[in-house]
Amino acid sequence: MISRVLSRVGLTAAVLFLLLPLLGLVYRAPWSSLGTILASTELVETLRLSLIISLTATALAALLGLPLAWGLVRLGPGWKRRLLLALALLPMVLPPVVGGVALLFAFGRRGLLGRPLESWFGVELAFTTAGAVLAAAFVALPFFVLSAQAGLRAVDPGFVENGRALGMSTSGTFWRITLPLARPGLAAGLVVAWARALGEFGATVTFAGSLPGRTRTVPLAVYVALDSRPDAAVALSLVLLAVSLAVLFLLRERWLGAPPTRPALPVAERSLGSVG
Amino acid sequence: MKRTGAAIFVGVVAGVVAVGGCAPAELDRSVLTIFAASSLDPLMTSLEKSIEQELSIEMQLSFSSSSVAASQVVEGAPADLLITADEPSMDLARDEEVVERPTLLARNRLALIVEQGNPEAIAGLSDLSRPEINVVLCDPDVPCGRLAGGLLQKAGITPAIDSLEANVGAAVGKVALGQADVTVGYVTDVKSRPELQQVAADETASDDFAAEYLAAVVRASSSRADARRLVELLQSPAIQSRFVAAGFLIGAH
Repeated sequence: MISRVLSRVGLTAAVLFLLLPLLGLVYRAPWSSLGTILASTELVETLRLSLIISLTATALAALLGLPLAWGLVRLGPGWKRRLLLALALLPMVLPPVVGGVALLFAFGRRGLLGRPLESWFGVELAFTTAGAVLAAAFVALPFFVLSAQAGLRAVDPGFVENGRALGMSTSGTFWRITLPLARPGLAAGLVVAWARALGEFGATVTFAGSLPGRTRTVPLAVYVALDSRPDAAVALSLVLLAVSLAVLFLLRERWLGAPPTRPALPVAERSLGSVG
Repeated sequence: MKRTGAAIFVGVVAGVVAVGGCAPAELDRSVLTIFAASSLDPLMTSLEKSIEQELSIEMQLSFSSSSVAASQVVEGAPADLLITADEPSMDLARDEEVVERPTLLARNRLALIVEQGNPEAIAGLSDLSRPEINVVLCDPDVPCGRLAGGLLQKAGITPAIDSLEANVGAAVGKVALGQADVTVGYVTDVKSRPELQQVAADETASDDFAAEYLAAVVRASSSRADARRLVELLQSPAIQSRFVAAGFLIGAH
């Protein structure tokens, strides 16, 4: 009895803890002028840039993340897999600012790879949209890898064996059997990685800078606008809030109901908890 | 086993909290919290100990861009004294009537800042429009950005900007790290960092586009008397000479 009351109280406290900040944002929103604020060319431009950067970053994360996830699935238990997994998940645990600093010393103008890139090929990532994509992809990668790995792992090995028995090559079974069957996990990975990329702030501001139209994404614009134009900051925050909620809601409807044995989505959901 | 681990963790956390919480209370001095423009960081931090002794207070310094500091005071942050780098930032707080009348502490001229040795051979403000060099400026919402924007506009120069940073420390830091080639910061930024160098000082020597450090006591503060003593001390000849040594200008222009 007491324990039931306690758990009720705990649940209510948790819900309030999560709900109050959202209510605060909604309460402060300039509802009457919201339309005009969001329709201003500056904000439309910011939203467009954010969309481009986050989608490109998601594609990059998937491109790098799929072989990584497959590698993790194929490695047997042991220190090698633990090490690779730790490396793959590091950007998720690392404070994004630290990620940005690390990127700076790798891909910055004085960085390990950045210096030769600039002097040999004239490629410069500092203060470019490509730099912002890199920062967002770095932080989004683990979210894709976790989901993709779980999705790949959930594929019944029997199907692959059957394919082999029918004379398919190893790569044939991967592309034609494993990948299609792992689709729900991969799709969930794409969505959470995109949500994380869209919300990226710390690594971007540290590594790529902040220039409207080039690197100033929605979160950076919120940060800059908060002091001088709080209405614009709140309006943009509301957009991010709505997008994040929609993503989580869609994930539930579309992918959580997928095959019952699949551990992919609990992982994806837990990952989303730290988006931000 | 698990339970032991958790118990140890809780014990350690409780110990750290207890030790951390006791230290200031033992000294039994009043604590003054100062929200200040980030360009004051090196000087104020170096003055901290001597001011604390002189006034028998404990100082807590929080540095950010002037507009952030002012907005935080407006939002009810527990500050006793607000120091901004220009009047528009101070006005954010004055308009809401959360601070007393401000006092001018010092001024700070703008500086065209490059890395020591000037590798990109930047000769003056007009080089800011060269597209091949990385130019970072402060955002127009913060004092250094407002001032630099005014100066460049008066000189008829359209800079090829690569990034607008949230405070002067971030802008100057990008040059120090080699990410950017040049920025417009303050004279004091160069003085406090040996890896940086000022160029074309005559082009930025304008008093019309210099930062003006204004200090105002927060009305809601419970230590207003101590905060006023601090403002007086900051205007004393001894401290003002430290301002000068750090590269600030004193007195009205």
